[in-house]
Amino acid sequence: MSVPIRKPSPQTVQEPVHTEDEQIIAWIKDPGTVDRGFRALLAKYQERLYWHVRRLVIEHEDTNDVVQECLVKVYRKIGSFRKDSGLYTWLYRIATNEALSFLRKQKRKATRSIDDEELLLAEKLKADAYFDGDAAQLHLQRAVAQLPDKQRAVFNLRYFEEMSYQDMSEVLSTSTGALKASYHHAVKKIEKSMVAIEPN
Amino acid sequence: MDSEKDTQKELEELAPNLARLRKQQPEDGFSVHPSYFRELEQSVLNEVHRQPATKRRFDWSGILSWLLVGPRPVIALTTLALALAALWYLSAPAPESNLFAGSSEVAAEELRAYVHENLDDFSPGFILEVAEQDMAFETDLSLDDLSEEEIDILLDEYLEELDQETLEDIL
Repeated sequence: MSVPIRKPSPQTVQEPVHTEDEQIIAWIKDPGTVDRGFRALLAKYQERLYWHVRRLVIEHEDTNDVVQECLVKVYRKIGSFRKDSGLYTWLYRIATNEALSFLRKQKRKATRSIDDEELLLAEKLKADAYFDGDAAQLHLQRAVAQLPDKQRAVFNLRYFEEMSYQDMSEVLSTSTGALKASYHHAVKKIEKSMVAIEPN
Repeated sequence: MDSEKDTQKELEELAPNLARLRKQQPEDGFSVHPSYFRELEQSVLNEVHRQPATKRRFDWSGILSWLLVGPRPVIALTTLALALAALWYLSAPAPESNLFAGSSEVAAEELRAYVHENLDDFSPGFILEVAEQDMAFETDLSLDDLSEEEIDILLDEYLEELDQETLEDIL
């Protein structure tokens, strides 16, 4: 069996050489090079968007659907992209919206209580062939799962992706002050949950 | 993007246990199979090549030139007359009927297309309000700050996002 790929940590990642965003946009805006531009965009961003969506949606199959939908939407809407926002934050904005919209639809369909949802998530993680985290990581994901969806997005973007509050503000259309408050609140809740499990 | 030092320092001040975990295990525990991203790229490229990049507008000039200089102008004019008669018949209001009374049987795409084609009949402010209620985010957008073109782009984006239930609410 082949070894699954794990997301490299921001601290250890060796970024491959990627095309500059300006070049990608220029290629995409030119009908003659649109394919080249979109391929460059995928090469640079598809993995990052996948991991971002995966942390929100949790299951690989669901994530795959959401990310494909998101990238097709990016291709269709790239003509309306305006340079006054960064390509990176624009892509994260679309991906976040797609993921949150998916979760909202999933909740509408579900007949289970919120507590059941959280238990189910923990079971899903344990059973997921593509979740190979240890007990501490499982506990962290369970604690994160108890946050409201938008706060989860805030926590994940800051904790795992080290995104600045300014960029998060563009992604989530929320003021930096509100984001800081949301992140601090999320961190305190998760810390409390960790202390309850491991008092020492 | 903030530096790793900034985010770690912030975390240490707020939550020492969590900060320690992040330092020891910065990964999230999720993984995918080794060829997944190659397959994803291919799958997305196949999908975008299957669909046109932009919605095609209806080509009225082609119809007009066919009507005026086509080889069979009589057939063309008859077709046009029949089409106009059908349009007039269909557009006459039916007594005691609601056009969308049975809208639950109408597909979301049809509803979306209807709202899109008849945008002028709806207040943009109303659609934005409904969309914001339905979508994950609230925005601080004010229509007064946007140009007509920007409002059109925004409405297009919102209409794409709305689900069938919300579209029915709008109607």
